[in-house]
Amino acid sequence: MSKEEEKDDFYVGYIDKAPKSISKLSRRFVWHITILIVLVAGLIAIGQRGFVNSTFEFGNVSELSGKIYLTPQPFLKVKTGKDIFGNPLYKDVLLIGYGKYGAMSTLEEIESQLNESEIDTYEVTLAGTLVYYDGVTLFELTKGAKSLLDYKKITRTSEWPSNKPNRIGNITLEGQIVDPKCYFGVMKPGHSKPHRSCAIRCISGGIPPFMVAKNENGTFDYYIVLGESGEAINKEVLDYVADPVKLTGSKLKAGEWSLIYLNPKIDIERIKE
Amino acid sequence: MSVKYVGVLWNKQKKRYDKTIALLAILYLVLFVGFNVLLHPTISPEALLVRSTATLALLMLHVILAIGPMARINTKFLPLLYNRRHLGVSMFLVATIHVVFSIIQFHSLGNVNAFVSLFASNTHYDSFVNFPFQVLGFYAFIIILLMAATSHDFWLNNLSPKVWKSLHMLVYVAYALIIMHVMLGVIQLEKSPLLIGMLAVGMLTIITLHLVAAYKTHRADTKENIEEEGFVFVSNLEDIKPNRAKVVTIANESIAVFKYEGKLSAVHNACKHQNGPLGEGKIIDGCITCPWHGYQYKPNDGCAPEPFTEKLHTYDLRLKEGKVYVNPNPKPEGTHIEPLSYE
Repeated sequence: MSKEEEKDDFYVGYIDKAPKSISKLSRRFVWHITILIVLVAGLIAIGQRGFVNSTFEFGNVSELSGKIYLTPQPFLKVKTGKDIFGNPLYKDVLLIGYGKYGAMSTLEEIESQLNESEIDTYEVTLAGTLVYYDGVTLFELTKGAKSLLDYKKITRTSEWPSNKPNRIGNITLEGQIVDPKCYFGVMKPGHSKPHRSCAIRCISGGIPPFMVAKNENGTFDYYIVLGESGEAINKEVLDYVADPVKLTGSKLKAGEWSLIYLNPKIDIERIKE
Repeated sequence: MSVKYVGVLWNKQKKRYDKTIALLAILYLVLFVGFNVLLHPTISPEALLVRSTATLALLMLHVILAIGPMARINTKFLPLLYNRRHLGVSMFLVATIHVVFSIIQFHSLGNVNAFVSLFASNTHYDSFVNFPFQVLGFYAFIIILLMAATSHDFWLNNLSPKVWKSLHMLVYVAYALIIMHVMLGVIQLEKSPLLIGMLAVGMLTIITLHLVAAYKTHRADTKENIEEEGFVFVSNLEDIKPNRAKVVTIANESIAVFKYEGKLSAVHNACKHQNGPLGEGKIIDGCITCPWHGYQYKPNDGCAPEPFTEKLHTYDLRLKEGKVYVNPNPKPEGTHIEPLSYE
């Protein structure tokens, strides 16, 4: 076929066979697209900053036993063994609800199943899903009120240390307010702008806001953000979630938890990265 | 062409086209997952799903937007245009997975309805940098949804080609919204020059192709019209190839003059189906055949062969000393005009 004839080739979609010169170009186009696909898939994978090794054991229900503490935020203190002197060792596991909710409403439902007195006077066994990263562990009460598997009244209160917050001093932190459930495993990434809406939804639902601040060692410190008297200020911090911020307040320690008490009206400052 | 509506008028070419789309989409997803699992072993399945479908839909959208100008620049790319709607609907399906999963992932199981959460969680509507990027993506999806839902010829005929075309031109608004969705969303976290560069190359390619195609069309449309007794010069007879046409634009009226079997006929240049450029078509089996979807018209009266009912305006022609002239006043659609014989 001459070049002139090839030039006159005309494609009609409903005719079974396309002219040779046209099908040849179409095939060549498909090959180019195939190469483009390989390049795009590869370059995007290379260009991404990577993902942390946080874990959400989705679909895997675990059992944890310990004592529930309701302050500074609901958590389960779990005995993990004994030190060389025979003193008990503990792990503080933050409790959170199913979905984008804090644990309080679930714990209230659980409390209503108990015979008498408050939930924090029992040693309980709970079913739920573990979330963990960077030394912090959370436990999602996946089954709601059915998360309570077993309970018994605490008789030897001395086995369970007090969790009263101790004031350390004043502190200024720079970093980002996140929701711990997503940050420590449920989402990747669980921080910054792409995750802002989800974090706002989680914190609105009662999951305690956490401040993630880089320390001088280049690792991260985590603080539960609370009001000046230790009250929840979830609603007040929503506007700052996932933005770079500077917090000024009092640093406290309660068991394994670091806390920052602040006045949300004056102690949170939005900063530029 | 069909006289009744059917879901899809399958033919060999369409099947091949759709198989190619499916294979390439699967290849992309497999490669995306493979590369990421290899380079980022800690990536979560959710992140893989959200990002693989997002990037695949965006890649498909780039190809969709490139096909139009490519076919204008080189008509050999017309097979890609013929089934572009199938590519569009495929892109919509991939985007749907991204949108539905993202709404479930980021907005459901909370203390407000997921759609309320989408609009009301991030309230920095007064800020450019902090603007709620997910809302932009959602509006882009609504446009793509409308386009996919009205992609069938049933809607083309019932909405009229003008309204349908206007609706489908919103794809450019959707593209702009998606670019902003990416730039104000994931790019603010990733910040990789590689990713930003890829997005820029994609945009530049689309813009350049459209500019080149527009320049080509503009050059053809702005030829000086030489008039003689109400007739306007079209071309020298010898410059019109057999079974092909020359297009002349007179006062924004585009006319295609066809040369076939020793005769000349002129019809309005826009196909009744999707305003396809009939002048870039060819006479096949005695009928003008549209290059876009193969709609056919008889050259002497502009009528589609029976049982089809589409009709075009026809025009008077004159031949003088080997030069072809056309009277730009259109005859009513479907008016028979005796073809001008030149042999």
